[in-house]
Amino acid sequence: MRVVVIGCGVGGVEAVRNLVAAGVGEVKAVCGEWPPYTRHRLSEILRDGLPPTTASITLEPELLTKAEFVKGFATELRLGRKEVVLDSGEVLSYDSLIIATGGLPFIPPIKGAGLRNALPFYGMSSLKYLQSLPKGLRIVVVGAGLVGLTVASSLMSRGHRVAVFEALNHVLPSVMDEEPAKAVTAHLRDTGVKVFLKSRVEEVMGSSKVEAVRTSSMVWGSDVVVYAAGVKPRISLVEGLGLEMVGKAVRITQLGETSLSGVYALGDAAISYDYVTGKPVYRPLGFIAAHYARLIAEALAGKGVRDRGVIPTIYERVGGLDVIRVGLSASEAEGLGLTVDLRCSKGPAWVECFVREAGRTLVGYELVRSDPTKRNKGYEVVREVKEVYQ
Amino acid sequence: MGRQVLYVVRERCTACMKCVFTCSLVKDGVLDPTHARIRVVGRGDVALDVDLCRHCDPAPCAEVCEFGAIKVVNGTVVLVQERCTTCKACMSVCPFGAITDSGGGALIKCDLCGGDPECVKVCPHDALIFEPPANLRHRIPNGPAEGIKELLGGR
Ligand SMILES: Cc1cc2nc3c(=O)[nH]c(=O)nc-3n(C[C@H](O)[C@H](O)[C@H](O)COP(=O)(O)OP(=O)(O)OC[C@H]3O[C@@H](n4cnc5c(N)ncnc54)[C@H](O)[C@@H]3O)c2cc1C
Ligand code: SF4
Ligand code: SF4
Repeated sequence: MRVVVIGCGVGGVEAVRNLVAAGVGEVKAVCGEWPPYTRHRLSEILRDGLPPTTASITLEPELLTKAEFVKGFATELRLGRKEVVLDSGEVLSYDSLIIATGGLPFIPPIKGAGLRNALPFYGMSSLKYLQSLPKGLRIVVVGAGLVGLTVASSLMSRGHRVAVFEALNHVLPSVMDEEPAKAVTAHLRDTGVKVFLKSRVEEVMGSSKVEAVRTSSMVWGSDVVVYAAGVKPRISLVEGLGLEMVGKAVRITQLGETSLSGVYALGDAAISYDYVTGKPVYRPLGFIAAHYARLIAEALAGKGVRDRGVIPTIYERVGGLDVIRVGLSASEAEGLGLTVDLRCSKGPAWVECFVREAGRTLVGYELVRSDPTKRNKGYEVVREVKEVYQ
Repeated sequence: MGRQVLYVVRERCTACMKCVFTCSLVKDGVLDPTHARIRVVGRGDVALDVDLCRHCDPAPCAEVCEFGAIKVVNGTVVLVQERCTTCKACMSVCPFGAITDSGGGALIKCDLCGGDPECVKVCPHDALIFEPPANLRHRIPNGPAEGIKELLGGR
């Protein structure tokens, strides 16, 4: 069997690795960026001033001999003829196709968004740019998700003056509930990061380069603007080809197959399934890309696999804090139609929350701590959820 | 000989830091606590404790790692750095904070030095003991049974 994987991010490379391990025929990957790298440690590399190559994914010699990595960009899919056309003109034929094109950072459609010195924090070029800046600049980060907060603290420790603008009423809106999120805001403010909540940036001001940002209530001077306002699926390659979508993401089955037989999708390009509710969700996270990479390879190897979905297992270091979420937050659980009960408690250096469904099953856990000796009980969610919902 | 476990007698720890510096030197060739797989921390009621991997069985970190970067080899839970993408899923479920960032997102954890832990050899106060579980009870008079049970995954 000939398998072509489009995209060599963590999901694409992991698909190749699993396909090779399962001995699935001839594997080719089309790599729009080379060498492959992981986005997961970009903030840490920025913070510690390490070379960008630190983000490279190690490709073991066996992988390089057993699979072919083609450097180039896929520009057209001919699904009827089972062909992929590359920017070089080369045409690859396949029996099965895996779309692992990832996502694109969301840039708010506002006036001045494209000014010089305004860019998303997403890949190698943004890491290199932010590393090249002289100390002491005024930097605005748009969006207080995990990427926004980690890049804000990294920029702070590099000696910049950093302000984070978040449109919603607490930081980490899609990760944490309000109470633990408040502890994160307080910590950021203690470390000197300015945090503005309920503050949507409506314009980036400047003539040729960034000079300020404007919200409905203020103008804030700035030399650089960093967008961290989320990710959208990168699906231009499949648009108009008849694949079923959920919103803007490619719809896949529980085993990663799209609505066209023999065509699979994974990672930031596609939906995934929530383990507890079994519902389709869009969660652009690296370990979810890897989950489907394994499932797709197993399915193509003819192994009879079954899968319920993924339990989110999220950790980030934000300044001096550990931010942990396992399973569902109360707000995400409610959005998925569950009735839940959220119980939070506080210590001098931590906030911990338990999310229970119908007062019984533990479906989520949130912990924010600066004290490393506070026990993390995240694993209890994995254990309990697997026992109850398997 | 059956499986050996690394047990910490925290009452004996004086925070001399020999284990910490030896670990960072042996593993990464530097004298730097952020490169050590073992940490001496202050813990509420007791003055000091030592944090390191318990090599849990089953191991939560290995269970959630989707990249196959955490393997269990003869009861030792090992992180294969070349396979790790720093997605940090393992860090979200480790009860003991035993997986840490040695800089730039390169994650590290204790691998028991392949079965002969250096920290145990250098501890001058006998605060680190590496023995089969059956021996622990007489090596540690009034040994805290709960702690030993926790080490053995509750068995
Ligand atoms: C700063 C940052 C930090 C993050 N930290 C974490 C974390 O700690 N843990 C976690 O789980 N997740 C994290 N994420 C999310 C994670 O990086 C993504 O979910 C993950 O990279 C998705 O993998 P992917 O393979 O689907 O896409 P990507 O990694 O984006 O890879 C897609 C690749 O496909 C290439 N491509 C696209 N179109 C084509 C084409 N037509 N032809 C050829 N190549 C193409 C792209 O150039 C890219 O290299 C982070 C994201 C960011 C931005
Ligand atoms: S790293 Fe943590 S979860 Fe994994 S075996 Fe060690 S103590 Fe257990
Ligand atoms: S951070 Fe590394 S070891 Fe931990 S779960 Fe992710 S890939 Fe596995």
